Amino acid sequence: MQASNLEIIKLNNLKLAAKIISEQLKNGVHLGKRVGIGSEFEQYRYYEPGDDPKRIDWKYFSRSGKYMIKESQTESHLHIRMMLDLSGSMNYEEDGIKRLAYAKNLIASLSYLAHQQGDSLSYFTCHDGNVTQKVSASPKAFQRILYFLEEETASGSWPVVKQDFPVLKSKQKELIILVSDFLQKDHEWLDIVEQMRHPKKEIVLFQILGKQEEKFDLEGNFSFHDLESDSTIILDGKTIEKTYNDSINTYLSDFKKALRLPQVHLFQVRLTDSIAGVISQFLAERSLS
Amino acid sequence: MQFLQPTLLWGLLGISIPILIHLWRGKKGQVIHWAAMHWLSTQESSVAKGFRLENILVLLLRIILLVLLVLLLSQVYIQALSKLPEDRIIHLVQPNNQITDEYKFELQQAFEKGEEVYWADEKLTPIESLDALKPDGKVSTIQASLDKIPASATALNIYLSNFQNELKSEFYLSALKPNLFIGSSDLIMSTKQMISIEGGKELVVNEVGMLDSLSDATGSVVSINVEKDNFAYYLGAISDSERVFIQASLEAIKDVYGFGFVEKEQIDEAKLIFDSLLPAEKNSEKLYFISDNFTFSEQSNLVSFASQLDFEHSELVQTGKLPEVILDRFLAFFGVKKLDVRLSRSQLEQRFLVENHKGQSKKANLNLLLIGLFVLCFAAERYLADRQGI
Repeated sequence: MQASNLEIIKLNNLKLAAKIISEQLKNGVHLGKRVGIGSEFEQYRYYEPGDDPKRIDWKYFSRSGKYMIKESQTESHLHIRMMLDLSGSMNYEEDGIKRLAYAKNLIASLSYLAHQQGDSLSYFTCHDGNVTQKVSASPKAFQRILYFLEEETASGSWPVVKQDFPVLKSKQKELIILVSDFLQKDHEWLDIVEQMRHPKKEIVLFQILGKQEEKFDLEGNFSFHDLESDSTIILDGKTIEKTYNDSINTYLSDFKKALRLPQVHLFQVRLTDSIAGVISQFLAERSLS
Repeated sequence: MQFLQPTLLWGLLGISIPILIHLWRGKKGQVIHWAAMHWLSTQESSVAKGFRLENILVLLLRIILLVLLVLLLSQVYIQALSKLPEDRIIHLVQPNNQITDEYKFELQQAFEKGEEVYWADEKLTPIESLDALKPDGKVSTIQASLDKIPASATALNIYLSNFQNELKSEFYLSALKPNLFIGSSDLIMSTKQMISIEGGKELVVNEVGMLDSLSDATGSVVSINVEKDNFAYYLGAISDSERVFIQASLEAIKDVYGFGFVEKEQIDEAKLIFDSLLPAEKNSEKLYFISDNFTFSEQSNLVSFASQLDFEHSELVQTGKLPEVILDRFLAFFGVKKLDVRLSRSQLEQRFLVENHKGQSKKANLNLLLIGLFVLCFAAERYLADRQGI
């Protein structure tokens, strides 16, 4: 049985949620775990014909007279940089599912998969116009990411003015996963993506939107309270429906067009989409590319 | 359908409360935390104009709740729902030969229909058949019999003679409005009474019960002779002012009717005794008027007044009725009977006061149904309201 998003979020335990989600993926867990030459010792095994004789542990042979091969987990050379938007708009909630909670579970699940594969992980947050590195690459990175994710709260707004983030401008080979709603007033997020672009880097953007945000169809008067500022507008749902839907659709398709760049992948996700489904779609696209 | 408490129907105005609340809520709008503010067009004021009722179902339920409550409190009564008791006609016959003779036919019909016929006596004795219609020895006590009439009776027929003397007390209290059957013929011809006083003067009680000095004596006349010494009176321990008023009263009677009252010094010689103390020994030959002494006298020859018989204290003196009272008692003492006065139908009807508690006996017969509906509606309203978070 597949756990629904709401059930997973209600667990309020990112580690467990990540495990449940990755178990829902048929081919997720064990693919990346390869045994081979690495720095960390894993186990000894008997020499078998076909093995490279260089790999025989001669010190062990001198002690016991057995041909044993020292094995360690193959280290993946992929570095994954997780980035989470923590602006106030992430607090948007629909049918009991908060955008931030969805994003946290998505990042936790992706981190879990990466951790299983042995990829190195780092974690950044975008909050109040600052990009902060919370977790740097280390063997314990996954646990630390989970620790930070549990605590994260979203607030404030993201400044419109163009900023320079040196921390994003690294040139090493990496996979950047950025989770946000990408509801930009100008093109602040496009600027950040532009800064991060490099031939060696692959950028994956998860845009999480609510159903009503994408296609508004509520009736009656609503007092719209801005999540990033304190302003409130009272509007009638029926009258704004058409103009809002038109403008948001234009924006979303324009945004998608603007990100038709090499090494950039945009995933537009709804809050109702299952997290496991989103990840498997992501994995499928990655294996194709 | 009728309401036992129609004033409470004003409570229906309360229906406006939930409507107003819903209108107000509809106007105010539901708070929604929104991220994509940038794409909401704010140019046009697009607040819904006119009335928009939110949550029609909940509103309807709330209105129904109020209506049910008002109906419950105003005690809806639907005639059709309560079974009407069968007609139970009770015939109450005054034990009087004249009445039984006169209404024999009606009573016979009542017996044939199997209706209940009772004597209007203390025990409400039932009359089984027309043969038993003999009022020998039965004492008519209308009030006592009215009290005993079962509550389930729907109609009451009273067969009554119309003479004042037959009706004991002034008014009767009845649970039902009685249909009166009044004896119409005055078969009992009252005999004329004549009072002859000394000097050959004669007074006659005329047809309307008044004492008349003009005699038109025809037919049988019962003559009452009043001796001279009967007019002797004695004034006992009473105040001077009382003395004056009593003497004036007797003087007035003398002027009108020629009764020659004479004052005596000795109590033994007098027939009429005015005193403020109760007599030590009561002589049945004498008539006592006791003033300023409140007693309930059972004796016919003792008249007591609660106050002193002077202008300051006694209402009788103030209104000038003292001579009348003295004469009345005086004549009664000497055996002059009051003439039976016939009462008209409307007078008789006024004698019967109907206790109007018919309304209370009507129970609001929809209460249980209304309470049930109320509880159901309330549960539904709570469920819906809770589900929609209002």
